[in-house]
Amino acid sequence: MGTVKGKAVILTGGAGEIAREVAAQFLAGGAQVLLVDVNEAALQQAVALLGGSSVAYCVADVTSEDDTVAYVRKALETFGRLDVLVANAGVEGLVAPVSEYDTDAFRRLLDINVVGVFLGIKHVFPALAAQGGGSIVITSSVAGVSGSPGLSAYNASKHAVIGLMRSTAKEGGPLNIRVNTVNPSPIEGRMIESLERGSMPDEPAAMRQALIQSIPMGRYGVPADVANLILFLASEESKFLNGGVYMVDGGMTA
Amino acid sequence: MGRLEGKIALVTGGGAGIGARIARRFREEGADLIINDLREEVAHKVAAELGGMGIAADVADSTAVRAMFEHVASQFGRLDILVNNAGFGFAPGDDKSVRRVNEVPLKQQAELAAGGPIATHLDLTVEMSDEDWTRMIAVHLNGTFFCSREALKIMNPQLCGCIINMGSIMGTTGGIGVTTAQPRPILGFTRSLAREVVSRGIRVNALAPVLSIPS
Repeated sequence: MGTVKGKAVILTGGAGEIAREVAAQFLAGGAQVLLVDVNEAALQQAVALLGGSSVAYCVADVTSEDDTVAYVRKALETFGRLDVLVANAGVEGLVAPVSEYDTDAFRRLLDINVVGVFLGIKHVFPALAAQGGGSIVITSSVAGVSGSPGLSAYNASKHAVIGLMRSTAKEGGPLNIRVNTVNPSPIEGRMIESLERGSMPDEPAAMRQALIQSIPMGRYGVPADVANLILFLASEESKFLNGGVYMVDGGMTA
Repeated sequence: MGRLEGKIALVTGGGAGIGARIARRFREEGADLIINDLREEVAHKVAAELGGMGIAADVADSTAVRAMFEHVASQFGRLDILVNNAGFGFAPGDDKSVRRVNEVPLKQQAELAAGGPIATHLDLTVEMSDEDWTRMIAVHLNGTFFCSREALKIMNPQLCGCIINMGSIMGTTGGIGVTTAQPRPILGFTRSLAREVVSRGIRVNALAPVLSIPS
């Protein structure tokens, strides 16, 4: 992995399972991390587990512009600098045929998964620009490059953040701000278990089996697979990587 | 401890440019190197600098490629990484095409800015000879195939290995006709080979760099 020593990182969706591993790797690499999430109890637990003085948290709803301004300010006040935004907050939403997909749920999901990322980028950009550059990594998905039945909102949102990434990568280039997406396959943990149950309520294990069969490497990813890539994209080693869609999917979309 | 400590890596076209830089970076991470190049002297020069083995072979010549990998198997007994990097933008010595690619777009912009119709054209395809076209396909496509096939003969029984192909942004976004004709199939070959050899634990990926500045 490239070096992330001394970097100040904002990690949204900071109380989730992938984020836990991402934060642990950043901290092990000598970075400072601000965990952002709506769930304060989970944030406190994450901070306690991670330990040390280089990790802090901020309770925020990524769909709120005021909360976004607050977490960016908190990062700058706590660390005195800002180098990286990992826009990782996201939800899977419902599993339902499009004709039955609840419209409010659709809007709500786009608000979290797309507007939340937009707000993060919007308010982090000036801070990164003022500092001479930085790296923004957005968690998209294999669902950002291909479709899955029953996941219209999730699919739309994960495609949308790739568009957001491409546009802002071109805006960011001259400012030395890089923007990229990581696109994981199913990763072991809560979200995929929820999707297995949502897709086949009676036989989630069969759904899991079917999904694993679609991954050439024959397994779900683990949080470390995603964290390794995010750290690389945040590090100096990737300083010419901008505007890219980086699959971490065991060959699922090859 | 480097990330490639104990790994045997072969870089085609490793005698200069990006290939030589890849080799140098691999060496910094502890890999043992085999430097292939069409030109014997540069292969040996880079190999001597980095403490590896130099082998001259034309990747477009399947007999030469087979002999190279047989030599690797006999010397090292294994191969962990193959970088299919050998390639060129235009046929060596084709300065006319290089000049055209550099100058024509500027002339076209000036003509447009002057309000007139575009009178200068690239005309790379109509000017390209059979020999230049065939050579380009032979090095990029056949070369990638020949080297991958022979490398797999060593990697398959290991049940591990890593093949990295050099595509280009031309392969993803499109570009000037004759330069886009090879990276696109390389990306397709990469995807299909990745699915084929995953059962042996061998990974295949492609890079798609923008134009690089030779140093």
